[in-house]
Amino acid sequence: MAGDYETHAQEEILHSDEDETELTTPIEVLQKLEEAWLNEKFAPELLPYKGELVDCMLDQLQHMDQNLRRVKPGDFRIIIHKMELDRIQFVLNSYLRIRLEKIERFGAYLLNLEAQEEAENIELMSPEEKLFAQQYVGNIEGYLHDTILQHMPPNMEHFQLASVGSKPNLDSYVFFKVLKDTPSLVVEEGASETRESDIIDLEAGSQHIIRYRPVYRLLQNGTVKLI
Amino acid sequence: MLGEKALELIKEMKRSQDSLPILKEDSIKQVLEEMKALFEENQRDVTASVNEELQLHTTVQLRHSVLLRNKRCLLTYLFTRLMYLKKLRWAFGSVLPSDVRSNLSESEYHWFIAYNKALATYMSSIGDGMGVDLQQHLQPPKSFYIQVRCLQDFGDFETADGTKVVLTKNSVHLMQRSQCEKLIHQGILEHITI
Amino acid sequence: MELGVGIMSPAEVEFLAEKELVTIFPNFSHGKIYLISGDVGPFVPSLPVQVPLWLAVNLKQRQKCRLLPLDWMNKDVLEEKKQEEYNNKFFTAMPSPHYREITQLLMSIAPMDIPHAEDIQTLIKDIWDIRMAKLRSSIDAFIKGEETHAKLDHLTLMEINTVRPLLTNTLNKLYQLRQVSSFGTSESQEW
Repeated sequence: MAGDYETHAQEEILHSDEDETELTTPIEVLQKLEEAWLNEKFAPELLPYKGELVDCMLDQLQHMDQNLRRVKPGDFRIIIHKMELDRIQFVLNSYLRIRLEKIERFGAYLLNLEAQEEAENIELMSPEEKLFAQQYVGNIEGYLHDTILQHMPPNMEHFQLASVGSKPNLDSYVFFKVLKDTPSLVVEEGASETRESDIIDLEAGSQHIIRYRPVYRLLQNGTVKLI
Repeated sequence: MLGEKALELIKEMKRSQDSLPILKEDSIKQVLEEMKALFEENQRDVTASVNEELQLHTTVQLRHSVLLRNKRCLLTYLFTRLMYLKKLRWAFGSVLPSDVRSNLSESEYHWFIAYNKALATYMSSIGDGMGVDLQQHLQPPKSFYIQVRCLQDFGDFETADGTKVVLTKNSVHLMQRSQCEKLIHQGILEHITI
Repeated sequence: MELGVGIMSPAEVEFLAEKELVTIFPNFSHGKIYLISGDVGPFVPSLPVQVPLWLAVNLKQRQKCRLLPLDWMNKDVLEEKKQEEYNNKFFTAMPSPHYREITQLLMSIAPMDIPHAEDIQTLIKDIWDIRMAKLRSSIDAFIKGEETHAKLDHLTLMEINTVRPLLTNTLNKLYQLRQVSSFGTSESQEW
């Protein structure tokens, strides 16, 4: 057990990302997961699913949990490891719950994006989330149809959640921190003769508050992170 | 007055933000009947107006907007109740308190069951089937863990963050201080210092 | 469902602050512990060792260590910082991005380990108050000036989080109003 225990945390985890093989340590995975959690928390839209991070972290948690079961009860290390596991589990659970909340809010709209996603090769929702979204929307539409819609006059029976469900408000304001220097970001288009376009430079390390829309691409490519 | 019943439903909805009153099946029925009547009147007037003056046009329009409004009110009323049920699911878990249950229509209850099922399916499938119970760890953990031994059979115990523990005599557990303080006071648990 | 979207609770702010490293003097012996977030130890009685704050808090609670005050938890350092913050129009860099949370946490579990604990607490609160007052007037000016963005360097997470709901809601509304006045239309829903 000792050898197993010592080398485990030091291990580098191999990810094969189709063509690439990335080496990432557990610490890096955890940091990336925390960043993903905060980004998801503050972004008004659903961000692409970080499946690799989730799977990797779940593996880590399971591994560590199994290690702990083999340790004699009362061992000093148990409490310490358990506390860390709780911390990690909280971040993971919160990440997934926040996504679920958004999926319920914008579910119908998100399902309609599927065609666009495939074209751009992004996985917005995991297959499991997608299934949940379909069931969720279907259950609501089915319920409303069975209880009232089918009893309405002929031309009024139709209703789709997508037509009234919310769309994410990409113009809501967010706080973010800049990770890489980025010059000349257009903040707001000149809307009339009296308002010119606002253009700013983003220096690494600086913090800002701006509408989400001008920066969401920067979020996707890791230039900024939400705080 | 046209659309009055529908408005009543909305008013009730606004009044009961923190509770779920019994579903007003009768009111719903009445609104639907009103819609049927309005629609039929419109059908008659539209057929008639093909040969007659245009002054019926406004009446038809009025009825149509009442129809749309009624539809909207009914949808809102039922939808809002579902959203409230959803909130309860996360607060109480998959079993509803009996007083809530008795205020639901059968259809509402079936929807609730379906929602639970979808959630359960989702949660158990996360991470390639490994599963995550998202009902746990609802709050960031606090660091104040202690080890305790159970002195008597107590049964199931749920901590504030949703973690479930089974307390049987002599079992040893790691718990957060704040969660088990009461049980320690009651002599059910004993703090073990490591 | 816990409303986690767009909102951060004080508990979550503290959770993030607890990752900061602090120095403790253990009163026990133990080998290295291999945490996922980084190794800690080995623990040798009375020898300083760095651990994350969440661990330090737990060990202190179990009476297994003494804490070393962070180097900025010093009366002179903080007096100077307070003056600097007071005299500066803008926000100055804080000794830690979690200065308030860390102070609150350490004061609640280890005031005995921190010399002049009460004075330190007061100074930290004073600095906080000066900064929050600055923040409120900046926000006022920001909103009145109808600015579209602002730079918030040196603001800590807790400070940002305190004004987060107010600021984002107000700015969101202002933006909506700008759109309406520019284009003169608003979207309506068809059911």
